[in-house]
Amino acid sequence: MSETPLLAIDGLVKTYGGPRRAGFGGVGRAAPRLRAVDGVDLTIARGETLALVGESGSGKTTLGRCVLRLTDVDAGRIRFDGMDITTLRGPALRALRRRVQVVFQDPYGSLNPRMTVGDAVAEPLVVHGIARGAAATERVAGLLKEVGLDPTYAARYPHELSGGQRQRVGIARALAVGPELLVLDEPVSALDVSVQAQVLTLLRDLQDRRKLTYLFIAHDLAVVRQMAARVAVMYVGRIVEEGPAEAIFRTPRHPYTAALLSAVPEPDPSGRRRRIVLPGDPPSPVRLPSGCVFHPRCPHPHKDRRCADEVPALRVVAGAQRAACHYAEEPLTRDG
Amino acid sequence: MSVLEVRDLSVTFTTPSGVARAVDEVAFSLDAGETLALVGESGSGKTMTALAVLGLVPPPGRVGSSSQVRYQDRNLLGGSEAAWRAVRGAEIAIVFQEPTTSLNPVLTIGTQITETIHAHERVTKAAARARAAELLQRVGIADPTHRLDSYPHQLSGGMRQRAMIAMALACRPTVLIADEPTTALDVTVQAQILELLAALKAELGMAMLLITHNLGLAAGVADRVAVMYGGRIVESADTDALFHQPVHPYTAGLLRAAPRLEGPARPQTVIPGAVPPATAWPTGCRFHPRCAFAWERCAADEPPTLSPAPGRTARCWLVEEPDRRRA
Repeated sequence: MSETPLLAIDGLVKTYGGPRRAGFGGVGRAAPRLRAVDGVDLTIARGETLALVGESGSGKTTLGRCVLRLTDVDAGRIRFDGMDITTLRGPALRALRRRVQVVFQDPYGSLNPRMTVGDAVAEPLVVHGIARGAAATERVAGLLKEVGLDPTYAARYPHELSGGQRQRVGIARALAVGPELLVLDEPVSALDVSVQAQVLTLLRDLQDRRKLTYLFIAHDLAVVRQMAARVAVMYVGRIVEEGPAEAIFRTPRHPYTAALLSAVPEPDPSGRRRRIVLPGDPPSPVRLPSGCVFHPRCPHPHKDRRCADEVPALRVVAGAQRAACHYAEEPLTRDG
Repeated sequence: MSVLEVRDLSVTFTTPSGVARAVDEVAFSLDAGETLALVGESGSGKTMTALAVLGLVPPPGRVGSSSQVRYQDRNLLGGSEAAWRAVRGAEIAIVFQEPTTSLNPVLTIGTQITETIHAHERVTKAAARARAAELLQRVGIADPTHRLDSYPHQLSGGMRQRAMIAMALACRPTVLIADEPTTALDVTVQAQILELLAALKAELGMAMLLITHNLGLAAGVADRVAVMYGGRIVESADTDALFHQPVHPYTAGLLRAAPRLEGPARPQTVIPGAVPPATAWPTGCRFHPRCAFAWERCAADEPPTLSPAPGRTARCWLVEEPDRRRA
């Protein structure tokens, strides 16, 4: 890949709870207590979909918020289209918001209940000085059509819409400013299966038509499989595995990925696969285990002292597939 | 032998926009030790069915006058509130989706479990507490005696759901209703809870009514599956038969739409449209406006419960006119 990635994240750290650092460079260093994102490196090429997968507390949503510049980071760099956006403020940040937009999980919570659909979609147009008045109304009609809603929906309120329709409005609102990168934070998790399929189809169509780049944050691996060519798996703030979706789904190299995949209930009674049931809960991010953060729950037969002592680096294991496991060369098999 | 039998169950709500027929002529039976999954999307009536089985339909909901919920051959719907209370929680217990909202935040786990025991049995405080600790141990909570004194917020989501299950099991029920028991949980925790429910079911010989929107869950744990759409059971069959040869086009559409890890990465077809509101079910078959096979008959007449094969039911005219499937 010689082209500059649209998004490049280097050594990103985001902590909560501890006393705030005095400056960005680590001046006045204090002991931060909760490391929500703990040294993440990622890139997304233009037009690509990268899925960020993890369970509650994995840090996936926090990472998304850092990319959106909704929160300041403690360390590391975020570059968008070659430009360092890590500490962007004021008008420059406003300009970035036209290029990076977000769709949240719960359109009910993210739409103002007292605003009509038309006003909600027009709002970003007005805020960014793109269009107002009749021109805005016309743009809104076009956007609603693009997301598969009849333009007459502009006069309705969020409570009059179904979950799927509300999510379409959320998407139209994000598209209004003509962004290049969309952060999709669990965009279909609150929807029914049949509606989920409709919204995922819409997102893929929009990506083709508008040449969009997606950071697709999700916990559902079966959904991820429909959307992303590349997947990154997070566990308590770290990327434990990353690479081509097909390779990861076929041969997960990290035992956590293997457990996640095995836990997905497949709608096929004949394929009742061996489920890897992990003991216990993820560790508290304030008291992380030594060595590999996953080792206390790890079902890998080769687990040993090294796992408790030495933090495994995220390294290339096969092709473009990277994993942070000392025994990634001997992955857990799904049927063994 | 069936422990629970539901006949002609209807639940209606009178709303400003008309009468909502949330559950309509639903019938099923549950044998001892069997797991039946009631599968449906939002608004299909599956949760209201579960509540009706427990006599917990919230006002202004009304249960139809000819509806029956027969537990061990006695119609509970004809009985008094006292009769309900004797059964509910003791013989038919429920685990709800969201343990955070269904546990009382200001009472300890121990108090909440012993409360259930005291409500149904005359036992000493010490005996109830000992049993509560035993239950926590059984559902896989470490250090159970200490955990009895924990408040819900001190537990993780998975532990809260385990505590809910312990509470449901407190009086050794014959029927366990699990309403989306793992929906609010992470997938690895979900795997733990499913494992636990399967083990407990085998150990205690309970029958389970699993209410879920997740076809994968139904495929993994149920012996039989009933699919609900528009307040009706539109298809029911043994799990293998239902997943391998769905008869109703809605079931087939749901299966195609379900994201999966094996097979083609993307669904080829998507069910168009959305579920209509319960106040305005379409005439004829309630699914016909979204159905690819629908013809005049489907719009005019609602199909009754037909039997395409022994042990199977489907509310679809294709059962009588199978040639139209190829058209």
